[in-house]
Amino acid sequence: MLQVLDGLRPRPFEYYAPTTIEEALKLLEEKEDAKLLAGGQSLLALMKLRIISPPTLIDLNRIDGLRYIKEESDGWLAIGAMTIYDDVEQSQVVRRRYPLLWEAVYRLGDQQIRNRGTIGGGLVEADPSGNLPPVAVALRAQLVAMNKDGRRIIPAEEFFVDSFTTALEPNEILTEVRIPPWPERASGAYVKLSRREIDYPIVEVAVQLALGDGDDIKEIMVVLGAVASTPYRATAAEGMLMGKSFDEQLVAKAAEECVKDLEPPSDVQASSWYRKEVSKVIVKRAIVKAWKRAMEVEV
Amino acid sequence: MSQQTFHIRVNVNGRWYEADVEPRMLLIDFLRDVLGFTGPHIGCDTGHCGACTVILDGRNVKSCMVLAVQVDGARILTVEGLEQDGQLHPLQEAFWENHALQCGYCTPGMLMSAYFLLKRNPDPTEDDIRKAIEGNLCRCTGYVNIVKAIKSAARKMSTRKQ
Amino acid sequence: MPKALPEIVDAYKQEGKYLTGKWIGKPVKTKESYRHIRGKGAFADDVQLHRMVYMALLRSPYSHAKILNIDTSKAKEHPGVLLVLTGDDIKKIMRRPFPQPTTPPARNAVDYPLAVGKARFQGEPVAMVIAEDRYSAEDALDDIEVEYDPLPALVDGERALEPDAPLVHDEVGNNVMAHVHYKWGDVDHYFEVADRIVEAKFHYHRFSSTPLEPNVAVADYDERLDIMTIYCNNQAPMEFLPQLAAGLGMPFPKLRVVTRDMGGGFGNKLANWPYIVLAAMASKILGRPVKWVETRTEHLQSATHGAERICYVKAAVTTDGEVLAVKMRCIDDDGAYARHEPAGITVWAQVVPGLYKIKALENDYYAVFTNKCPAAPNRGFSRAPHLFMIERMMDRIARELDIDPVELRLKNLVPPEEMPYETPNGCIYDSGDWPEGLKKALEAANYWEWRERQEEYRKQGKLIGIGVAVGTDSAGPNMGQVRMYNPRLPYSGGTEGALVQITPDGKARVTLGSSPQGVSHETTAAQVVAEVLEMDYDDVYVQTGFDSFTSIYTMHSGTYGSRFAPLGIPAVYIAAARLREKIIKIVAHSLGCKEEDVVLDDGQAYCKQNPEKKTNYRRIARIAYGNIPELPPGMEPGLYSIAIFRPPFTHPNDHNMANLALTYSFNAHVVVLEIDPETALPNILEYVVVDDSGRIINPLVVEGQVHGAAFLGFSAALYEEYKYDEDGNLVNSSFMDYLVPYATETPAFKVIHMETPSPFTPVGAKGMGEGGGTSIQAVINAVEDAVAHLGITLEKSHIDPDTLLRMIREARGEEV
Repeated sequence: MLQVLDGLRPRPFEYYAPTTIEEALKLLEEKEDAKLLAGGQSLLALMKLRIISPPTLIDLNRIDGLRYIKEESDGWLAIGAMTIYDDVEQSQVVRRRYPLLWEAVYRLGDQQIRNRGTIGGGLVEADPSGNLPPVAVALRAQLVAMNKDGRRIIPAEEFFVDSFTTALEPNEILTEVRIPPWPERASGAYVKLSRREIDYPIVEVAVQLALGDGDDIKEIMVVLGAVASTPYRATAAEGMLMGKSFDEQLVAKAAEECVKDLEPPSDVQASSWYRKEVSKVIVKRAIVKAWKRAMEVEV
Repeated sequence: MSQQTFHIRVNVNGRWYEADVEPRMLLIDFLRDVLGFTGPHIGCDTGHCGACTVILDGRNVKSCMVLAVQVDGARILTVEGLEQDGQLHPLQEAFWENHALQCGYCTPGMLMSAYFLLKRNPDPTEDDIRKAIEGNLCRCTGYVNIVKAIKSAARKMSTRKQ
Repeated sequence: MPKALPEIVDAYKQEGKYLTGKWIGKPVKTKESYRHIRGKGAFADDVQLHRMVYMALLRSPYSHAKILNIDTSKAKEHPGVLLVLTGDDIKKIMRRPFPQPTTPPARNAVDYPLAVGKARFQGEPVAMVIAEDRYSAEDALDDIEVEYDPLPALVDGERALEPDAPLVHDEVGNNVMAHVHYKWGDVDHYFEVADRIVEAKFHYHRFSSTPLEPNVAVADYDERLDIMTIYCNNQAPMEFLPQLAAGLGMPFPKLRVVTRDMGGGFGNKLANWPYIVLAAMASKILGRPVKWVETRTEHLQSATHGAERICYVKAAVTTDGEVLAVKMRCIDDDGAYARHEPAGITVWAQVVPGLYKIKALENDYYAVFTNKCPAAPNRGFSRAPHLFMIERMMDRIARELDIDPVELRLKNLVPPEEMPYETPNGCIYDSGDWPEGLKKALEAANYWEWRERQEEYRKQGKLIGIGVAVGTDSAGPNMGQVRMYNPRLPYSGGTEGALVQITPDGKARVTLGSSPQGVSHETTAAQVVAEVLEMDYDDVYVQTGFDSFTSIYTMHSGTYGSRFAPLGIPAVYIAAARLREKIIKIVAHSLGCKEEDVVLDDGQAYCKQNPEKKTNYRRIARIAYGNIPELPPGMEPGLYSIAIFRPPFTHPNDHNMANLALTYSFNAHVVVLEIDPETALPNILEYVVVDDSGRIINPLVVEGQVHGAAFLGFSAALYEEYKYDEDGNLVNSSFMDYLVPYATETPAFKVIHMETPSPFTPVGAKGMGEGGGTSIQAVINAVEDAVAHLGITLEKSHIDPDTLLRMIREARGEEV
């Protein structure tokens, strides 16, 4: 038996639209099982289908100062949690410095979703097939969480605890994403495989790497999405490529290696077998693309 | 649960409207059932069809994925607001001339996504156009004439500006 | 058989005396679009009535389960709720269940609009709520408690025929909805003399083209006048009016069914009447207007699906590629109820030999019940699946004989000199040069060049496939076809009505029996009226949609079976022509000349001898309606003209022989695609369609239909499939998982037109909206062509990358 979804309108809920983060944090402490409403492009869909029915929504859209993309003096890039995807897609800084983040956002949903959905929402949702989680991990991003007592920083790799579950405490709000500077000769790529362009990926791969003096890899992060409950870091593949010079056959081998232990889920779009098979392909394509970009032989 | 209502003030197609709404009321229901703007349509329940697309503070959004209470103070443009002083918008003309619609159910949303595209990119390529309407489903046309119409509207608009 | 007998051809022959080409054939901007581009479409959900209330339905989560108990007490107390009904309540209100079209024992099936005793498919409604607003109605569904006892589900059409299969309808005693054994021509002889027998199994998958506007009903019972008005988006209101009348106990003159703009149909809106009946009953009980709007999930899960078909096919062929005869054994999986099906078990017979000179065919054909959503037509209803079998078979035969599939087709296509052509079962293919059409398509797609390059690409590891298919859009059906499964059904022939009136201000008012769903009937009807009456297109006003109080209808009326051009347009033409003749008489009398000297021109009229002395339609109309003594003596006043077009269709005879459709359009599709060898994702490189739909009334409209038909077939082949698990759960019931393509996936279809008028319609236009499903067969042929060298064959009309990659790996001897 599957749930039959008869409606398209949410169950009743209480609604608050605080104008300061402090007010929002206070409401979050007070209201049991309250959900934060950011862009709402996933949350409202689930509420309309009555798959979830939170008693309270705290809308973050009226809080000023959470929508920005700032290059800081130490080279970090800070993105406010309520920054919409479209802002990120339009940002020249993002496109130049972190092409994988640009690609992930460009290939996220559709224009209407990118006009409404937010970076913070996309991370906190922790959808195993979300475009952003693997990218955040690959970029070694840091996530800034706030509660009424102050703020703390959570590395992206520790942020995604389980499917749809993050390291945020119930009284915390994600306020900012911080991306560290990567060396001069670094680049990345995000490749998604889906049946339709707007779909959640069957498999997605985010790669960020930095080169040494030649075309040898000095640092590399290879992170898969949609194949496990949280972003899957392919450390074995990374290990095989560290210090190596550009070699497509080696990349293919590393890709083979990286999917060995994968046991991806089956769903209506693809079987576990298919996910695993195409993971190899997508990993290979993403690494080659990132590598060529770092070598500046491809954009 | 207490029955909260909120008093909202919204500008639709240049005119301000006020109403009391329950927080769960979707913007599409507010536009259609409360204000009577039946141009935007409902074609799905998961935010995939785009038939309800409107321009909210300058950007195309799906009005089934926004709560009415959230648009307090905002400016909304629906398909009904495209025509100015009895003059069709170039996109409307182009959709008509190029037979870019059959049943017309997707048209109001399709036009608003095209409107946003041309505001941002007055000279789009075919790929740009297809990407820009990737949130709008059409079941009738195979998109061929829609793409053609948007291209033709872009040309029209740029010659008119010159 | 070949060429049809002259006396038959003569009986069907039609000629249009008043065709000038002034309006017909012109790319006139459509009347309908002007509303839609301004957001002023008049859809059923746009109807807002005073004191209107809303209906919501609780649906069974099980595909097959006994309903032990339904507790509605809490829901009845929910604020805003006015009425809650269950199947048992409905059973009491309706005196009897919906009449069944089938023969015994299938006829014993009991069908109510809410499940009674047992739910037979996932999503079948079990209870309904009427509340003051949409939100409260949905809320109250939460408060209804249903106790189910799940039963084993039947989800496989072939399994349905096994003796130990679960029974969908206990009252029937088996799962057979209908069975017909067809045999035309000396099949056994051809199988004896054939050089070779080619065998295959094919599977036409379950999908529906799912219009963007869901099903909607607004029922408004007026107690004062005792009139039930229904605003809905049913494609053929006259088809369900008997059910509605019976359910409500009201006579036809008290039932007003109205359709206006309809957001697509594709056949999927023919069987939405159980919901309309529910809304109407509620409106009658409450004395208030009741609106019901289906959600997308409901639509995908429980509206109607196109039937699934499994066929075992054998073809008797000669070594040099002549296809002599075909034997088939087919099963249609029609889901839980006979609500429009099993018509499909007969409708395929419009195109028995496909487009070929196949001399004989046998088909042992079953339609079965399963625990799935009830089936109903989908664009290309029943003929598209059959043409799929034929076109796929042609590719298989070509491969076995090592002949190019195009050469095989050219060898077997009905040639133009044999038109009109009579098929083995008595259908008359009216006109066309099909070999020429196919050649045009091949040329435009650079077929031979692609064929040459294909080998090269393969060496580079690329998988390029070239798919070719031809199709015919049989149109304007003879409803007598259904009598092949139930000879007692009181439906036969194929008719449509129209009214053309010149109103007292000299404008034309037109009503149609059709209920258009986005297919520009207002525009094309106005073009025909403007042409015949020599007046301005802008002065012709065609009523939007169907209205049983004002439209001229027959029991066949509606928009399905590509019937407007072959049946509806002739009615319009004949009504206008009669009016023209009356107008000419008035003018001759009024201006004092002979009728043959009267000239009509752009809404004006004069006598040839004296062009200076003009009258116009307004003056003529004033005479006809108000200044009666100035009419010719004895002439009936008024300028009304009603016509109902009647082709000379007959019942099928004892051998199931009859002409089953009036016109046959032609199309040829050539697809070139690439399959990514590593992911099996498809990429269309080239898509060309040649279309010949007879005389074109409006090229914009015709081209739009060609695009649409190509699109829906392409998407069914590569993206859309309803997937049921073994318990009968539909696992993809939203647009998130039921993959309808966007502009980003869809190729730019190229269309080339040919124009061979039909001799059987006065304007020469042919029906063409459905396209015969040709794109599905072309795309699947292309995919198979891309991987055939690996030894892969495809059985289904749908292929997804997961399945295809597995096939490629297996074919390469890899472990999967």
